[in-house]
Amino acid sequence: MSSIPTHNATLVVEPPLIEGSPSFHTVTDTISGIVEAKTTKAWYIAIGITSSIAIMLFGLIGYLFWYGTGVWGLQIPVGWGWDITNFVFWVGIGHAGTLISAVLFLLRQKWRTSINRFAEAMTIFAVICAGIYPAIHVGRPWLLYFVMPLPNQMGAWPNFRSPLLWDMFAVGTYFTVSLLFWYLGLVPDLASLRDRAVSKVKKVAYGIFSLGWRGSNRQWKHYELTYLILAGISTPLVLSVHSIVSTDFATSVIPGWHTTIFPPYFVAGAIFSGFAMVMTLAILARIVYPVKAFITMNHLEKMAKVIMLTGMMVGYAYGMEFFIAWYSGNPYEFGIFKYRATGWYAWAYWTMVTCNVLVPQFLWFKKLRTSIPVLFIISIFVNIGMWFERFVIIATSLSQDFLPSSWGYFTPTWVDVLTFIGTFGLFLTLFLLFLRFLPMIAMSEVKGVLPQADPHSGHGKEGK
Amino acid sequence: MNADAPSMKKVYGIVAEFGGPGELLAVATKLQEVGYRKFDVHSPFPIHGMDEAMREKRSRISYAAAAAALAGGLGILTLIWWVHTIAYPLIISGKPFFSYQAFFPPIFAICVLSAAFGAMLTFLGVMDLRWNHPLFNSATFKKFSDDGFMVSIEAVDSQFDVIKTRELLKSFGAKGVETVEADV
Repeated sequence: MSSIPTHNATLVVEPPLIEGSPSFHTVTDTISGIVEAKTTKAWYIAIGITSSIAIMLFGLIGYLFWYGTGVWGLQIPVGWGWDITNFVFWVGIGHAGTLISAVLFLLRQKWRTSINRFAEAMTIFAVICAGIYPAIHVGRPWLLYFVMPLPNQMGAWPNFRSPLLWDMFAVGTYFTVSLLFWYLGLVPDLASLRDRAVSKVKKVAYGIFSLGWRGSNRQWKHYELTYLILAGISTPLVLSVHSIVSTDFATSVIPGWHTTIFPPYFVAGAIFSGFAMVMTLAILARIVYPVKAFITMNHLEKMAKVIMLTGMMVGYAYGMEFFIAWYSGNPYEFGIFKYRATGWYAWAYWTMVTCNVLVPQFLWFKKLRTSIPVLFIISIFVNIGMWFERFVIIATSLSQDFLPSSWGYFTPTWVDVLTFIGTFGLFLTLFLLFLRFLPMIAMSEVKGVLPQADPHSGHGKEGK
Repeated sequence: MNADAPSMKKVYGIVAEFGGPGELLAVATKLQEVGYRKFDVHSPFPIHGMDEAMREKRSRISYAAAAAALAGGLGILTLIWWVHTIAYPLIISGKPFFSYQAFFPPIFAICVLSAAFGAMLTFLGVMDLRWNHPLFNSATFKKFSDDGFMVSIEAVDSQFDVIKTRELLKSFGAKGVETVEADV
């Protein structure tokens, strides 16, 4: 009768998104429990260290303002050094958070629910660290308002054709929209903390920020659409922000910068570096907090695959850049690429290639892709490699341009190094505060992807 | 507390807890059929299909976001046009004063920013934001943000009757039913 062969059909069973099939209450209890538990000594020690480093950052910024940008290793011809390297590095890291929270949401990738909250937090804190550099590198920071279209006593207005102004608009928008998106996602979870709060202070604080959330369907209806809209408008930001950052370079006529590959190349690199940072933080969070059931091996493996994919995109871009430099027949363009690979900065170039192109290839092997120590080490390598990518782009192109008489080598000073370390202090301080006072995993979203959340699941007829 | 006892306070409505999302969906459908309109369901996460069950119309926040994006985009475009042609015309690389192609990045950024604020502020406007909502007087209601699946029926509903509505909810299999009073 029926000739449909059924015996050789294989059913692909996806691993469960959340391990151990917890109840709704277990989810609330586990995640809120992290926030409600007594502050541990380890947390105090950790934030003591990171906030000291952050204070050092502010001290160094004061030192910079007092003496000027000469305290950094900047000189002519290398007028952009670690400052812009670090700016691009931090902005790039943010992109993975937006990709996870917005793009994967639109693609209905339900596994994102476990990691989107802290990936978004990472985005916001990374963009804060990034935003510091353009603000402080201008030499006369009290004139920073020049870049904004503000009426002023000189009757002067900024040039809207300038990529540096685009940057201000792009990064400012990115930060604001990310913050709104993150906050919207937090509202239902803040309501959970409000309803569980014991102390009056917490009740009032969480109460104010949870906006009188009642989880009613009429609220959810508007909430879900607003969330979808914010996801929808954040999605082009994933592509546009780093594209615009890349135009800071690409619109100039410096060999090695003036290329059309820059926007996609920067975006791929941003997602690559950001996923590495999410991986680093996720692995650490799994060690410290009881969230192994939420951030599973499955999540880490999926992130590893994204790292591998974007790593190869970046590798392709390195190759294509080289090819086009040769194929263009432009001696200066090809000269700068030969210089990158063999010149003064060859050590930085090959560090970059090793970390970004070779190291992620280990992720082809499932055994390595599912080993936490290996993933952690690879994520650190990628973080380092992507910093070097930006450094190579910036320093090499500036250090040798058309005239050999104006060549020079950039060496960072102690202020450069400590300022960069300082931004890590600020980033980690903000992250520790987030882990302490806000739910690090989106409880309402995790509950929504549990099997029992489907109104038509189980229980026979009740689901209609 | 005996909810049926006469009270000096005004009754806001009734809150009842149900077993799970599927049950809640069924209850919402039945309440709708019986003729209740001023009711709502409260759950820790949005329940798929609930809008249809409650015959809720689609939210229209997207129109607000689109209008805001358009307004923001036109606003910044006008500003840029004014800056580069009237207020402070500068010749840069021999390009026309109003070289609109180069203005795309800031216009796009402002469109996105305006859409975000448009959506977010409209959401705050239409979500019925009340920090002192009468439902917060209920002890059982709190569970909605953990694992409670609640129905609330307001006393202003034409079908509402403190006793009959309670019985109805119990007949639907409510686990706990509580009459909620409004602060007067």
